[in-house]
Amino acid sequence: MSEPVYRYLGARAALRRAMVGGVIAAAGLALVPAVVSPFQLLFATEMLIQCLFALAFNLLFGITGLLSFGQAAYFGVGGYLAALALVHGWTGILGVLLLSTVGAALAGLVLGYCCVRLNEIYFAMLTLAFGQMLYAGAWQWAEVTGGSDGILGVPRPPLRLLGLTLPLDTGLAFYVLVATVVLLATLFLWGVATSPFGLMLRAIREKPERAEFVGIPVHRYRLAAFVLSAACTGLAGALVVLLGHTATPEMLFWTKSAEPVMMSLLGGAKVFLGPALGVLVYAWLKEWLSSRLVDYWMLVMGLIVVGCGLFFRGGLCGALVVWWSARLAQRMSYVSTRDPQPDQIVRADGSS
Amino acid sequence: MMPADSLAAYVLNGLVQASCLFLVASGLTLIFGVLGILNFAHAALFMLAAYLAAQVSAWSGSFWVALLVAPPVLALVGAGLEWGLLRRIYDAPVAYQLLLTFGVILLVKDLIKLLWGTAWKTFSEPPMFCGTLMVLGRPYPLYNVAYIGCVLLIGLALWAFLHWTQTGKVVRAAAADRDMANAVGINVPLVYTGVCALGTALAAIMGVFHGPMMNIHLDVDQDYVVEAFAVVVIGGLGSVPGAMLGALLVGMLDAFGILIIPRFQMAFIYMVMAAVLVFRPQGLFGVRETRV
Amino acid sequence: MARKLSRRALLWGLGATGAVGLSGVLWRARTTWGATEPIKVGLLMSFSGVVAAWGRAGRQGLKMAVEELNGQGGVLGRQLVMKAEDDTVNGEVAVRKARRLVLDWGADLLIGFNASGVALAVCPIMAELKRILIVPCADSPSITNEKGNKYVFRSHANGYQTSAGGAAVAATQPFKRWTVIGPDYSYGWDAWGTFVVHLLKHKPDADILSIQAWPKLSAGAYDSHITKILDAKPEGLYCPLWGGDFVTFVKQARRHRFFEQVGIFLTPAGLAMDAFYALADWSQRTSEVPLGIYTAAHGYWPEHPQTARHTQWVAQFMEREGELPHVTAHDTYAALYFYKQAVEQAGTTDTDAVIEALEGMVLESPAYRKVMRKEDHQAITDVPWGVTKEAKDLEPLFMRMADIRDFKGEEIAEPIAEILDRRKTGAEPPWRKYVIKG
Repeated sequence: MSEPVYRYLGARAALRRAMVGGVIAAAGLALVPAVVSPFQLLFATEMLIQCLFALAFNLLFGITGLLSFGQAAYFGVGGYLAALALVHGWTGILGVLLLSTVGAALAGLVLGYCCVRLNEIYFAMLTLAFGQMLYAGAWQWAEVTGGSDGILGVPRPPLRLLGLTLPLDTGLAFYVLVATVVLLATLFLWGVATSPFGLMLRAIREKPERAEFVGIPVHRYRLAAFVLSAACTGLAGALVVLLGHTATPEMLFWTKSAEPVMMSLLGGAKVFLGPALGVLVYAWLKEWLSSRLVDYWMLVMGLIVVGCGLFFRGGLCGALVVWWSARLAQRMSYVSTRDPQPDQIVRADGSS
Repeated sequence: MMPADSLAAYVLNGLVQASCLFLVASGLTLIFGVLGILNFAHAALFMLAAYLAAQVSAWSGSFWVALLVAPPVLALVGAGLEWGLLRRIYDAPVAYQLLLTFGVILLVKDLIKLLWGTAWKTFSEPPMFCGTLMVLGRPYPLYNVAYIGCVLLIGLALWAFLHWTQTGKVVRAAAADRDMANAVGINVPLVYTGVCALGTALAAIMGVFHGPMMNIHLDVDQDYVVEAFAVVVIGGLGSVPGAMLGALLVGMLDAFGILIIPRFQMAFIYMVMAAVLVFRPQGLFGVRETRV
Repeated sequence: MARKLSRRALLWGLGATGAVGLSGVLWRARTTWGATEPIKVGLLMSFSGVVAAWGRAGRQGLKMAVEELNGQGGVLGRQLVMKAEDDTVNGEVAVRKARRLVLDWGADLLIGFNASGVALAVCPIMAELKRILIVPCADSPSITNEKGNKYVFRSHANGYQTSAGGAAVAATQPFKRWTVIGPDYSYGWDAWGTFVVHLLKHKPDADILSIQAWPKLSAGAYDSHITKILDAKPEGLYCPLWGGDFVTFVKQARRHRFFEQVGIFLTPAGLAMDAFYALADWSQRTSEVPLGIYTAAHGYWPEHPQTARHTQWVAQFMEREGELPHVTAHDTYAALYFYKQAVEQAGTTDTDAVIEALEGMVLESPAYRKVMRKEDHQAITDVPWGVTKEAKDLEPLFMRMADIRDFKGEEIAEPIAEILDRRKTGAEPPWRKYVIKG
């Protein structure tokens, strides 16, 4: 291979890309509080958490090719664990986040073990069943989960890090925490997706049988992806509970599971950041529509979703890619039709 | 040990639940079996039928007129849905089915809101089914028994249609192997539209029958969406007898669950669904390949 | 080729921009000169699903109050503006919408909720938002007892007070075996628990059965719960089901001859105006509402009391909306008038000043007199209990709540000492132990 290509391969290059991307993202996120109102900052915080949820889902869907209808289960497990810990007096926010992540990962391990043996539709149905099971459990195990009311009045203790105590009760402070956590988690997911492990997952997505023949333990890789996805989803759940001070059974309902599916498809599942774009567009659209057409925003949203499903299979990113490559092709064809004119050819000896 | 009349009452309750689940699930499983599409909007269509039935019942004053009007109208809606939307996602991955049908749910809900607002609707059962029946010395709603009877007849009719009539065999052929059916000369697209219409009509019948038993509001579909899937999975995707047995099982669990495990009655049904998927993914009568 | 910008062109350009800008500023100022900031009232209730009718009633009541006050010149000379948002009976959504109404829209006051769980979720947020929340509907005592804070007020009788009246009615009858069919969340548990506490005070020998039915909120099928309860052969039944759930329950229970098999049936909130409307059959001119059951209609009945003021208010409401007022409409109307009086007394809309004015405030609402108790911000008001009777004359309900007895607010309210004590110790309300899920 020629020298320039080498520069783009390899772990060091990937790391460099991640760092550059991370710095740009951090800068963008840091700008946000400066330009938006306090309410919009809260909204932005919520959207960041949704982005994490959707990106974690896409690790399973876009990269490993597994459609899970029950990711809300891990969202809820993470959320309820955080709520229970905080309500019972835990004051270490980082500890709580860790608890949620690990708890959700464990749940993912146990439930995922049963799921990854099945193929498309049955995998989806089983994840749906598990999600609804946990929802029913959260609803009916009222002593622990507060039943249909959920766990209310969850406190948000200050962050204790390296000896400093940083209060989190302002919108800005919490935004900074969420932005940092989500950015780090996204970089982690990006790392997973672009690592050799991620490549294996993509191979499994394309043709599981072929991967099996080559000797890849397909189930184990899928389970690993499942657990990682569940862990990040649990983290998102914990953040959401900290944001709203409540954990309700609706966090586990199948319509919550359907959200990241829609966001990923709307934004584009093949591109890593596609789901994030989907979240931004969907959330912004929903807020905008529901305040303009208070009563009938679902109609417009439904039309958009259906239209996207019919005509924009690759999602927004897919459409952008198609548009961009069409423009690129056009420009390249323009260039190639312009043959060099005889008087512009310069011969090696300098004469024309 | 429970006294006989209580047992009878619980069994009948279970059968009522089973009846309504069968009506919703049979349509869902037919649509999946023949078209290969998981229609998440199925329960929303049942809700539309319930609203329509309430309206027709209010205009005409008769339950039977509603029963005559709602299923054909919904069959048209189902056919239109298939022709306009579902046709384009036959071979698409499951994710797009979810996306599209989820969008349809949003559309149907707002359509209902546009036509009828957020007010509740109620209507009554036909006078001939009003009142109570004495079952082993205990008063039991006559309407419930009639409901079970009607659904049993519909189930038998459906089974007869699929197994003894030419059209039914065509439908089963198209379900078994779409390309071969096309090659043999069966008008597969027409079969698909017909099956979608039939499935939606079944859901509509459920909407009409169930209407007198409840307060009709914009969230009535919530409970049935996933329970219908549970029934379909337990019975086997694509199998109508499976849907019947699955509905029976889930209906009985619903009824007796309150007695035996009141705390986790809801979760139990999903546990059974999960257990079936783990140990016998094709369900009781399923026909599809399930493993990787 | 660069175009040289002549000084003249530059000056003209600047001048034009300046003129446009200045005229814009003057135009904006023109429309706001002489006008004062309106007072913004946010309404956060359930407009969808199984309790949609209750949110709708709240909006009707608030709209009536807002238009009335605006017609009288507003409050402190400022017009009132209202905005309604749907909490979809979900605490998380309610928190988001509450923040949106206050931070984005600038609400000075929030009025909400129907469901107790949702109200409980938003109470701590009011402290973060530093705005007053007046609750005209949600019933659970915890909202103003343990989980309340200084920003939360309730303009409506709470579950403890309603149950006290119910228990007094129940005690007049000779029935001893009692059980419950109620929604499985805080409101249901509190309604039943407080009822038992009061019943045992009147009848210490009452037998509270351990077989109870707790269907989840918006469960569609009650047949098995009905069978289970009937098997236990209760003599008396308390039913905190409400909204669409109660309507569904009645439709199913009637066919089991349920109401004939229990000696006495009470429902604090089930038979509110929405249920009367939903269960009426216009074509047959009857109602599916069972005869002879006791209800508080959640604390309000339009035909009672028959004072001149109340009758006139009901007539005005009927003219506006074309239907009889629901309890939530009345209490939301009262909630805004509480605020109006407090703001006028304080002379400002500043939250802390209004809070101080609201404490101890007396309001003559169209139906009853309400006194806002200082220590727990709970309105002390009379609660009616009546029995259902056929009413061919009352279209389109064909059924009414009759033989109404008002229970005095001061007698049925929970003693403040008990509440303060529980707040200090952080103990759970003592009545939760009567909830047996089996």
